[in-house]
Amino acid sequence: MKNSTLNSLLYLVLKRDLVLSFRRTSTYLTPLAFFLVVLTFFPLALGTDSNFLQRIGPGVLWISALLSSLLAVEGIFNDDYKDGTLDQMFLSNQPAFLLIIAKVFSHWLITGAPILLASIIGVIFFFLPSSAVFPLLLSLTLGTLILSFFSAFGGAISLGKGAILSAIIVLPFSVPILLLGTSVTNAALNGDDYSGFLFFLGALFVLVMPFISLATAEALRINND
Amino acid sequence: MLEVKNLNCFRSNQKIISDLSFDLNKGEVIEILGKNGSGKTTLLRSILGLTREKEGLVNWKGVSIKKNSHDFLSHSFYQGHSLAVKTRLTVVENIVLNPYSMNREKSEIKDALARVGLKDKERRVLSQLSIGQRKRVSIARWILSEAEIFLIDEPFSNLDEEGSNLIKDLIEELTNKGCSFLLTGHKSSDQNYKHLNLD
Repeated sequence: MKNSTLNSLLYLVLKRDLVLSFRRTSTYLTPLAFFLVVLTFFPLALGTDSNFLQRIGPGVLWISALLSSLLAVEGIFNDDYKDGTLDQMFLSNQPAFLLIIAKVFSHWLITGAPILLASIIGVIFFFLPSSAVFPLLLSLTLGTLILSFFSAFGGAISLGKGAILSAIIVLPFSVPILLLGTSVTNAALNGDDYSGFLFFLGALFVLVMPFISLATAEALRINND
Repeated sequence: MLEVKNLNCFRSNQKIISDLSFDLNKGEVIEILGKNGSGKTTLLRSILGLTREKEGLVNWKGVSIKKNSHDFLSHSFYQGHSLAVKTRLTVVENIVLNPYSMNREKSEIKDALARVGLKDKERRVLSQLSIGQRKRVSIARWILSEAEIFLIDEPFSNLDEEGSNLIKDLIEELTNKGCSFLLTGHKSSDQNYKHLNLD
């Protein structure tokens, strides 16, 4: 691959994945619809007591975001594996883990970013005060990004197998993110300082990005062998 | 150019290629023949490093491929069974958004597509094309890749006579320019290629 520099390959991966995702609406509509449906079920099932909904709101938003992101786990690498594109990633003469970061980022733009925007609707459903919106969005941004990396790892380990296996792999990893994410919003709701939890989430993101990408690249190599 | 010495290839700890040696020189075509499961694909993937379970020596331009993999991968082109085409992309997008044929001039892409008989189908999505036509998209990448060595898995499968002739002509054209080919197949393509039987 004579013409492929790292920058041009990263751009190529990002553009190709985004174009492909936009051409298959289910890629981004399914997790988004699932997220909104789950959010709607809670006020319908548990009543409209604003204090109660405000108390459970952060947890419900986070669990819905987590479960929605699991729906798209299978698609991260499976198509590339089946059509042979994955081979080209390993033959590109560039570090595979960097190309994986580009893939994860495009996956997040397709699945995580819409959930992030839809969570504003969740703020209305659960009567969350405006002071909780910024910390909620910031923690969800970091959290969904980290979840995308774990999803990529789950997708790589279960390459060519079912989505259920990926979900089972990803779920235990997401517990610390869930705890930190809900803690940020709960602290904001109680008027406490939430910056410590946010720093932890940020630190987790900085750690997860390179290490999980490396592990994902190795898992893909083994399963693509 | 490519030198393979005493190569053993494994799949799931089972040896499927034993003590294989051959040289591929500049402008030469070797057709690797064998029945299903004889290890044709594994051999190509082992040379490329996609399959890591192997023993023996593979040299590229006189240097072990382990030390020279960057240069080897920069000058090689691999086409597997699955062609690495995206059925939701158009013909042109499959060229532009592929690492082998990216960053090429529009006129070069047009010429390559015309050469493989897809001149009027540039904007067609691949899902609307036949398997043979999808293969032609992949063949257009050969022209644009500027590779020196082509490792192609079963190039003549799923193609009509016209398509097979196109590939044969293209191989001749590229070998005249100094490119080398390592092809696989179940039976000989009846061309004046060197043959290597894995059965």
